[in-house]
Parts: sequence; C-alpha cells; structure tokens
Amino acid sequence: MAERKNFSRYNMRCGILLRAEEGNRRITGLSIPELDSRYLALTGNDIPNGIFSFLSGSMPIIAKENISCPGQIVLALFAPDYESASLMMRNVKLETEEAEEAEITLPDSLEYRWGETQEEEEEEEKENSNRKISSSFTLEHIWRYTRRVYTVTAWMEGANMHIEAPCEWVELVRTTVEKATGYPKRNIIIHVMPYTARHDEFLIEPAIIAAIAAIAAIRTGLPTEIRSTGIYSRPEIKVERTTEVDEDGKPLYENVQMTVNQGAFLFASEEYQRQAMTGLLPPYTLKAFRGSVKVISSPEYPAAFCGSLGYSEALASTEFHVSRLSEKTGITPALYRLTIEKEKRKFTDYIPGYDLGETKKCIEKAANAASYDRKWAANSFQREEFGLLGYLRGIGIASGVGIAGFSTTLSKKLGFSLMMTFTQKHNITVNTSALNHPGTIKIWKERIAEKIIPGRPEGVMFLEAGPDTIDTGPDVLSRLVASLTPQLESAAKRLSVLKDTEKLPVSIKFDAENTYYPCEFENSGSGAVVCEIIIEKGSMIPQARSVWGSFSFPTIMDEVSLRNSIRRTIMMTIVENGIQLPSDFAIHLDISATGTEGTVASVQQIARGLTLGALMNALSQAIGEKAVLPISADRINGMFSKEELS
Amino acid sequence: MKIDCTIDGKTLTLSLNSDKPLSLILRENMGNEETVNHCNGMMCGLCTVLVDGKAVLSCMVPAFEIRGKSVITFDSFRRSRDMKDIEKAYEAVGAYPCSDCYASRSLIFHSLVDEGVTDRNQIIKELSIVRCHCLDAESQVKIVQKAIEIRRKRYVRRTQLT
Repeated sequence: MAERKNFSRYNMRCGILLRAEEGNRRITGLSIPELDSRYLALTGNDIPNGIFSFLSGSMPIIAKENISCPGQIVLALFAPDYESASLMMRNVKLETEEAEEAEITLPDSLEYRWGETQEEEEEEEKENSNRKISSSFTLEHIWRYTRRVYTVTAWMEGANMHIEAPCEWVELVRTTVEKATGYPKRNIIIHVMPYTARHDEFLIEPAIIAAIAAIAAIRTGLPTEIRSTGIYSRPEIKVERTTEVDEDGKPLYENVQMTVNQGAFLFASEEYQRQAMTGLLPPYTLKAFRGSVKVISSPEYPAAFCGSLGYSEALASTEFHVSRLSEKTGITPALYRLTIEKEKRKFTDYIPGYDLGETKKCIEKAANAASYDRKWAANSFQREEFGLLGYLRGIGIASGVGIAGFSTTLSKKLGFSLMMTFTQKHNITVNTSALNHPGTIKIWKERIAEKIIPGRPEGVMFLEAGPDTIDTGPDVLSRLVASLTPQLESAAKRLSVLKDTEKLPVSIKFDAENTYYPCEFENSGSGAVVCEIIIEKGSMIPQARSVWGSFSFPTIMDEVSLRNSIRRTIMMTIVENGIQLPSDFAIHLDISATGTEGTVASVQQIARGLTLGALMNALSQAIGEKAVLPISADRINGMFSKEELS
Repeated sequence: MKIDCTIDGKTLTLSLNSDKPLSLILRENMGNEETVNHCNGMMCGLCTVLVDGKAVLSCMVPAFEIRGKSVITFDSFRRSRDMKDIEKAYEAVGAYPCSDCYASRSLIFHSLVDEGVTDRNQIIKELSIVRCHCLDAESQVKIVQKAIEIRRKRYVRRTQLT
C-alpha cells in the first residue's frame, strides 16, 4: 500500500457538508456567496455522473433538485480551513418547498408458503374448535448521527487518485469514485483507516464523501479533506402474525406479514427480504405457513444494513409471538418453547432442517440461571394485583439460531473471491480485501497453516492492499468471518494437494461458489437470552437489571473475543432501544462449543435478535401489549395517561 | 497566540487561536485523528487525553489552558509500561473496551490507577464520561482493581531489585 503523502495543512482544502433537515422537499433556491479562488462549492450540478449505486439501489451523491430525506447532502463547501468553511457556510441560503412524493419502484413482496391453510383445506362446513392468536410487533424508525467524527481525504499523485477513508467495502469506494471522476479503477488507491462500524455506518456514506472529495481534489488541484459524522438508520418494522392453535395450544396454521420501511432509497432490499423471511420462519412445526415481506419507502434516511439486515428483527418478532402463544396457553414461555419445538426443525428454502436439541439446552440453561419461570409467574400475578400502572417489572426470553452472513443468492452475485498462492519458498500468500480485523487474520493464519504448513502460521502472509487486491465483498454482518473462514479452509485443503502435483508457485482463486449452501442460509450456533427489566416507579425510566445468555457454537476460535462481542451486542441493543443500564447491571453468559464441523455464525446477528426478542417480551410483561421499541419514560407516561383518559 | 507545551514528549511552540480546543489541535496540528475524536462538546468521551497525568476531555480544553503543560495522547501512551499494566488487567478480567473507546477508556483507567482509586462509585462516575456502552460497570471496576494490583506488584518488584 502506498504511504500517505505528508502534505501540509496550509496546502489543502477542508470541506464541510450542508445536509438537508427535512425530506421530501424541492430545492427552490440555493444561494452561494461569491467565492474567491481559495474556496470551492460543489452542488449536484457539478457532478455529471453523480449517482451512487449499491446493491440494486441508487441515490444522488449530492441532491440536485429534490431532497429525498433528512441528512441528504445538498452542498459541499471547501475552504483553506474548517473555520473559514463554517463561516462561509453561514452565508449559504437553502430554500425549499414541499414536494410531491417521489415515485419509487418498490420490489415485489417476498412470499413463502407451505401447506394449505384451514380455510383452503376445509371449504365444507366443519366444526372448528381451533383458536386464533394474533400479535403485533413494532420496531420504530431510529435515525441518529454517531458521535465519532471521521475524515475522508483525497489527493492526486501523478496519475493516481488516493483516497483515505474508513470504509467497509473498498471496491464500493473505488467504483463510486471511478463513476464520479472518470479515473480508471486501477489508478484509484484506497487507504483504509481503522474504524468501528456498529451499525454499518461506514458502508455507504464514506463512498459518497470520497467521490465528493475526489472531485474537489481534481477541481482545486490540491489535497482535500471532508470531515463528517456517521449516520445510522434502522428501518421501521411492523410484523402482524396470526396463528391458529388447537385445543392443547399446539400451533397448526400461521400467517405472517412483515412490512419494512427502508427509507428514501432502497438499498439491498431483496437481500433484506430474504434475511427477514429466514427470521420469520417459526421453529415449531406447522401444517401450513404463509409469510410475506413487503418493503415500503418513505422520506427518511435510507436504512441499509444497520447491523442485521432484517434477520435479527424478524427473529425477535417470531420470539415475541411465541411468548404470546404461551401466555394464551397458560404455560410459561420457557416451558412452552421446550414443549412445542420438536427434535428437528423443518427444512425450508431459507434455512435447513437441523437438530433443535442445542437450542433447547440453551433455553434450559438460561431459564434456570435466571430463575425465569419463578420470576415470570411472580410478575404475571403481581401485574394483575397492581391496578392501573401494573407491577412495572418484566422478564422475557428468546431463543433461536444464528445464520452465516449473506444469502446464497447474493453470494452468487458478489462472488466474495480471494486468491491463495503456495510460493517457491513454501510460504502461502493470500490476496483478499478482507484485511480489517487483525484478530481474525491471526486466526485465519493458524487455520490455513494447519492445513498446509502445520505449526508455521508465520508462513501465511496476507498481501497488503493495492491495485491488484481481489475484492472479497463488503465487511458487514460478519460475513467475512462467518463464511470466509470455511472458504479459506477449503482453498487451503485444495492447495495442499496442488502443491505436490503442480510446479511452484501454484495459485488458486476461490470464490463463494465453492461453499454454496443448499438453502439461502446455513444455520450455525444456538442461543437463548433472558432479559429482566424494571420501570422506575417515580420517573418511569425503563432500566435493564440483568441479562442471562446461553450460547452454543460449533467451534470457538477465541472465547474471550466471542464473549466480549456478545456482551457488547447485548448492551448496544438495550441502549439503542432507549433502555438504561444501571450501575449494577450484569450480564451472565454461558458459552459452549459443540465440537461439530459447521460454519461460524454471525454472532452479532443472533445476539442482537435474541436480545431484541427478550427485551420486547419483558417490556410487554411490564407495560402491556402496546410495547414498542425504542421506549422512553415519556412514552410510557403517555401510554398510561392515554389509558387513564380512555 | 504562541503556546509552549509538551505533546507526547515533544516540546513545542504552537502558534494558534487561544480558544482552539485541544482536540482540534491534536487532530489538525498534530495529525492525531485515529485516537482523538472531536464531537464539538457533545460529551462523547472519545477525545480523552492526559494533561499533566490527569484524564480530561480534550474538546473541553481551550488552547491557552495547555500552556506549560504536558499532554499525552494514546498514541504515545500505548507504548508505555503503564499501558502494559492496563492490558494485563483487560486480559485477567477477560473484558476489553471496543476499538472505538479503547484509547479513551485506557487513559481513564490509567488515571484512576495512578490515583489509586478503589471506590466503586467513584470508578463508575469517572468512567461514565465515555458514553460508549461496550463495557458494563462491574467489568470496569474489576479492571481498575486488577490494574492497581498489577501495578503495585510491578513497583514492589522494582523496589526489591534496587
């Protein structure tokens, strides 16, 4: 990788961005004061090919005539320093008026079904003793600026355009800069800055900002830098589910509709639908199932991956519904889960049939550690005794399996390639763009060495990023750790054979094709989470008291990292949903390895999904069925005052 | 105005606006963008540095305040023996801050260890300036206590050797 050029700050341009405050507006006037040669203003009209595209979605790099969502970039202003840029930005006047809603082509809703429902099956009149149980699960839209400020720098050096940015997908930045500037891809050199992307905030924005910085660098002939804060946006999700159960409470037929509001621009909608459908499939057996995932649009900041891409939220909705079923049946949710889940799960197009024994073990462990049944029963009884406000305590459980990264359909599209070479010096070089996590690379080196050069992990070298680096896809959803690990191992196995038969050096290019699954996703890892919350009686502030988690994975590469990763995901999910963490908050984790051969799950996805599900269940026990996430003290007060009025 | 100070062991004379926040001085003048954030006083806690050995939020420190003082950022602190103690404490407790707040938390841990703070409430209060929720309170208290223990052992060993 080329070293960063050490240029003086006196010889560069610093850029700040003007972002829209409201969505669905038409720009009627954008007055920019007269600027001397030290300044540069870039509007939508200054970028001829100003469209950013990403996984079937696209948006303008800078808004031209219409502003689709709050947070959209309207203007980039460059000055010798940030202070001058900020002062000059004060003189920029943006006038807008309400616009007609832009027409957006929505993808078809994804439908999946098996079996015939009761109505279809029995047209003839027949006495029906079954009961219908419905639930409604809502996760409201969250849109926030992150606290971390990051900078994107662009500079030219001979025929090359250098970009320095924190980015989750190098190839996306390169493609966006290529389209916007016309620079050939080979001459665009990306220097990846270290980053922490909890909600995949460094996936889309840095690519857009890099394109703006690159254009400014070309126009001014000087290095340019843009300072910005990350944005993350969680889509609004509504899941309506109805299950028909027999007299014993056994589910027979189920109908579920999920509506996802992805915001103004629909990125990766089809992948979202596939992931969400996987989460919607219940773990219990049914005679018939009908599911649909519909994507809608609204003038909100686009929600792309946001750490889960739908699986976690859908899994949480399924777990929420299971607890509603158990309540109607009169059994504690933990026991109900153990009762209705058979030994093996049904094979579907989205997730294979697998043994539910591990999940059941996790449920038992987490429920026992938390004294779940006792607390759940106590809270339920007390709730009825406490009149209008209720007992304001809740305990919830959720259980499920993890899935590994992206779907087979998307893997076919993106390839996720890498190249492995056995050199003449009997070392191994790996050419991949997945170089962002030193801890993971250490584990990969050990695993590759085990297959070809046992006991010599230092002989495995990951080539530094450069123009010839092979694109291994986006670094989101732990896809690179989850599915790339078996991919690397398969490549190493094949190379260990080839090194003895072929002339050295010998290389193989490996892509996701070699590890396609029969279903869209491969299950991996089971878990159960119990969450206990309390609502402070005086302030109505919701607080999490404790979380108990039990997880089981096929293999554990690094237990300390895994434990930390799960803990972080649990705490982030709780805080993200408006629930406070008091100083005596504790997480009790039990992690075990089954020792079986299997893929590595996206730990964050399973932990996030189960925490969301357990939180929602706990909240609904504390404040009733109207529970929504995110929650706040004002909201709870509002709920009770409305109840009082009615 | 001209300000004489020591940043990461280098004695410097900086010519800058007297009210420029220290976080911006470190980011813009010293090129330290990775470990020092600048959130414009939004209290993210990710801009923590040591000023004369005490952990402070650099976005709240104007330039004139650092005149004649010694500023240590995580960039130089990470190579010190004191950081090794903190790292050992992380390892012993089995809890690490996330990469986002690793620098800030490590500096606050060091500051607490240096002062020998063992009171649970005070530790939690001091660490609450970092608004990242990657570590629970219990783990943070354990890390400080463990680090104090490790540092004491180190000092005792050094005294015995001399």
